[in-house]
This record gives sequence, structure tokens and C-alpha cells, in this order.
Amino acid sequence: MMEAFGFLAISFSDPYLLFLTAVGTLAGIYVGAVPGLSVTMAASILISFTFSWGVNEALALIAGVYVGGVYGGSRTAILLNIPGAPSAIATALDGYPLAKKGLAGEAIGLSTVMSVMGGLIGVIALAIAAPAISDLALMFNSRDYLLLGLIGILLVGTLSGESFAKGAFCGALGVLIGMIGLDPMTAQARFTFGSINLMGGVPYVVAMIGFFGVGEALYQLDLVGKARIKQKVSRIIPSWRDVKKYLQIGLRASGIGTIIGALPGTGGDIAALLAYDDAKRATKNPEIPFGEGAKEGLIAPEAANNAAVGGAFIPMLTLGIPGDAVTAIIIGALFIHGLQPGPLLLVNTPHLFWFIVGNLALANLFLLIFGLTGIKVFTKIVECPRAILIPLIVILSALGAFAIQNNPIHIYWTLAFGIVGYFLKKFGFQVGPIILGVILGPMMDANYRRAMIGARGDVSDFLLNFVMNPISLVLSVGLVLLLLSQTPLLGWVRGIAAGKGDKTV
Amino acid sequence: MHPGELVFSACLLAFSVWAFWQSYAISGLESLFGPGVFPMLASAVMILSGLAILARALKERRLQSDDPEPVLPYLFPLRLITFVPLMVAFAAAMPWIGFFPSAALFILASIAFLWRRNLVWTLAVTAISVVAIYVIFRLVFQVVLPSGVLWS
Repeated sequence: MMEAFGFLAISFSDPYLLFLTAVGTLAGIYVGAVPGLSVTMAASILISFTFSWGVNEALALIAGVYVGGVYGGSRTAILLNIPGAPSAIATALDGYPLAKKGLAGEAIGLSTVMSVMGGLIGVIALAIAAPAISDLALMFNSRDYLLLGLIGILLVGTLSGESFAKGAFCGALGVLIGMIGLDPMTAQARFTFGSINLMGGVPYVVAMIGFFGVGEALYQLDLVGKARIKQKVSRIIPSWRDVKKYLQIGLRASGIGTIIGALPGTGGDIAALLAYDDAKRATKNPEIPFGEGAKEGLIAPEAANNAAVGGAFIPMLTLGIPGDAVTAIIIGALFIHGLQPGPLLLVNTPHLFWFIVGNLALANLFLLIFGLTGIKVFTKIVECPRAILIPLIVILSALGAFAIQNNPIHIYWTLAFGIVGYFLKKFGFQVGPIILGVILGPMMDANYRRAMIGARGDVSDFLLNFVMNPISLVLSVGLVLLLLSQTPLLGWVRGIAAGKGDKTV
Repeated sequence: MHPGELVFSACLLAFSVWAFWQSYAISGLESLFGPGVFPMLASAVMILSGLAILARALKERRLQSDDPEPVLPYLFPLRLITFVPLMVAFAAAMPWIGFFPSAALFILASIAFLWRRNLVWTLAVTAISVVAIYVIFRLVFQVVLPSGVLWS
């Protein structure tokens, strides 16, 4: 045990590791905040820089960027209504209305404190409950992942936008975009129309930059020259009263975030949306309604997405299955350094496990420092006139789209997604479900087919499996309830039931 | 109700039907775990939700009493129809004249069009932006950007 504490303290006692973690966290905040720059992208670029370094140094920098980046997305979500990362989609729903009311500073301060709290809870969960949680995740089978994906997309469809139909349409459209390219199971071309460029599929970062970067820029063209609401960033350190008041919501969201983060394939984005939805349901009488600047709606996704970081490391370190895209890249880094993530990692290299735990905790402490300072500099971006900002967003979006695979065609795709996104926004559609569909679509497709193969192609067996397994049953019931609550189905069912009732009387 | 919503909803529905047809063309229905089945499920959801969206738009149209806002200025404002070609021109020129010259021209043209200040300010803002992008992305992140085939 003492040995573990020794490993835990390595990054706190080595000045160089301290420095790297600090630089990583600060850089991560900006990377996460700039729309078009993604943590995934930064982490993959950093791996190519750092493979000649020691494993501790490389991990310190990347863990810093990861923790900072997951948080950084919330800054632009609050100040500009552009989520810097998918995990900040839910943050924008209430964060931006708060900023419009002149409470940007308070919103940023509160989201920082809650992010750090969530982050630390995730790290503690990683340290203590890693074996137990990974056991639970092991029991999930392909059906359950399919259900989780469906619930995730439908949830984001219900959270915002004018109608459930519009949300469902966007989610399905995203799934279709995610299907473009060669099918990973059979190498059959899907929606490629004979184009070689389409065979590799649409990288979801390209779609994300297009819909959120270019689409938003085009949408904001209407607002050029209109007086901006000055985002007053006066008090950043949140009041103790607020922290105490929202502590319970924050703790709940951190728990959700850790568990969702620990499920393979589901990272901070789904965690944030589920936590937002949970907070919306749990808060009976919010001071301000959700969607108009409820602090609960800001805190829940922020605590959850940072808690998901620690959670995402759990299956990665204990099973060798990445919790999300960034941990997938970190697995690559561990391989480069000759380490084998999986059940034996904890046995063979306990120092590495405890080092990661300690380093993530350290990155969260730096997050607290950098999150509560430096906002004045940051808000200068907001004071920049839209006439200058819009062309710059387009350039950054083009740069980000190009840098993923150095393919100029991706710039055209980004612009095209932007134009589609503009029209969808004009008609009251939300682009969040599209992005989630693109990200989760391939995972859902693979799991659907695995589940169907498991049922030997028999539809009744396939459907029966959804109610025979306790975990699948719980998730299926959740999905059905979600559908009933959002569509006229419940009304029809009631109508039919009432009709029958009349006849019997 | 947004101007032009009825036509837009109909277009979405048509697109969904086309997408379903394309999904069916992938592997048909020979097996339930073929590569085309999940795309068919997704486009079927699009058709169903597209129908719901269209039905709602029709209902709202019937309830609407006053004349709707004109569609074209709502969807295609002057700023958009000027800015989008600039964007496309930037992307098209980039492989030829290089990323930074093309970005500089795009920023200059769009700021001149959107901001309408004097030329010195416009040039200064353009120069600062391009230098900042160069330092961050070319020098710090070392993103390799097209240098332009015309100069090589």
C-alpha cells in the first residue's frame, strides 16, 4: 500500500512532470475551447511528438491535455454557444443563456469547480472501484451497447430542438453519415458512389467541425453588426452558497459520468447528456427553467464529462478496451512504450497504474488553478467583432478538417456539412443528434449485427433476448419509456385502452 | 412555422426515401445481419420522422392565418450568398496558391465585406490573424499545410 502511495506521488514530486502536466492542462483548455480543434486530434499529434520520451513524461502531457480539453469545450459553449467539443453540447444549453444574462463569469467559475469535483471523483473511482466497475462492464453484451447508443441519440434528440421528430430525424441522418465507407465486417462499400475518397468514411471530426464550426458561422452571419451582448465576466470564483447548494446535483452527475465513462465506447459526450437529463428530471422547481440558464443544467454535464475521464481509464487499463476516443489513442501510446494494457497491466506494472491515478488528480488540481484564472484573456475572443470572428472560424475549421488526415477533400466536406447545418438550423433542427449519430452509428451497427448473429438471424429470438437478460431488460424498458414519453404513442395507447374500456362497460 | 418549412419537409422526406432505396441496394434483405440492414433501419426512422415533420408543417400551415414571411430573403440573405462563394473560392484556391496566401485573401475579402472599416484596419487584422494561425498551427502544432503547386 505504501508502495502505491509512492507511485501516486511521483508526478507531484518531480518538477519536470509537474511542469508537463501544467502545460498539458493549460494547452488542453485552449485546444478544447477552440471549435475545430479536438482533444482527440491534439492527443494524436502529441503521441507522434512524444514517442521518444519516457512513458511517464508522455502520459503526463497527454493526461493534462485530456483533462483540460474535456473542460475547455465548456468555455466556448458558455461564451459563444459553440460547444468546443461534443462533451460540451449539453453545457451550451444552459451555459449560453447564463452568459447572455451577464453571468458568464459565474457560469465559468461554477463549471470549473464542478468539473474539478467531477474529475476528482472519477479519479477516486478509478483508484478504488476499477475492478468492480470493469466486472459490471464485462457483463454488457452487444445488445446492451446497441440499446445504450439508441438511448444516447434519442436523449440528445429530446433535450433540445423544436420537436422529437426533428431530433430523431437528425440522429438517424447522423447514423447514415457514420455508415459511409467500407463496411468493417464485410468490406462492402456503403454510400460511396464509386468515390475512393468516400471509401475511408467520413471522420466524425470533419462532420463535427462542419456542423458546429462552419454551420454556426454561417448562421451567425445574420447577426453581424448587431450589438453583441457584452459578456460581463466580473466574479469568477463561485459563491460558497452556490457550491453548497448544487453539491448534490454535482455529486450525482459525477457518479453518472464515472459509470458512463467506464462503459467502453461511451465517453464524456453521452455522460454529459445523460447527466443533464437526469438533473432536469431531478430538479422539480429550478429557480430558472432549464434551457434558459438553469445552473443545474450547467453543473450536471460539466461534472459528468470530467468524471467520465477517470471512468474511461477503467476499462482501458483493466481490460484493454478504450472508454472513448482519447483513451483509444492513449492505448496506442502505451503500446509504443512496450506496455500491454489489459488485465495484466495492474499486476505487472502497478507503478504505471498508480502513476496515472496520481497524474490525473494533479491535472485536475491544475484545472482548478487555470480554470479560475486567465478568463479575462480568454474573453477577449468574445469581444472580437463577429465580422472578424466568422472568417476566422471558417479558417480554423478548414485547418482542423485538413489536419486530421492531410486530405484537402475534407475541407470541402466540412464546408458542405456547414451549409447543410445552416439550413437545418434555419428550420429548427438541432445538429447535436447528427454528431452523436455519426460517432455512435458504426458502434451500433456492429453491435446490432453481433446481436443478430448471436440470435442466428431469427427475429423472434433477437427480440426475445432484449427482455430475457436483466441488464438488457432494464435498458429496453428505459428506451421504451423514453419513446412513450416523447411521442404521441402514449396517447394512442391510452386512446385504445379507453376505447376498449368503453366497449366493456 | 418557419418560411418555406413545407417545401423543406417534403425535400427531407424525398431524401429519406432515396436514402432507404440506396440502403436497400447495399445488400438487400438476403440476411438480417448484412451490411445494408442497419442503414435501412436508420433511413426508415428518417422516413417516419420525416412524415411526422411534414404532417406537423401541414397542420401549422392550415392554422396560419397571416401571410408567411417571404422565403428567399429568410433562407438566402445577401451576406450568405456572398460569403459561401468566398468560402468555396478559398478551398478551391488553396491547393494552387497554398494555405496561407489563400487564407489571407479569404480573411481580407470577408472582413472587408462584413466589417466595412477602412483598408488599413482590415489589412492589419488580416495580417495579425494569419501570423497567429501560422505560429500556432505551423510552428507549435506542426500541421503540414499545402504550400501551393503554383510555387513549386
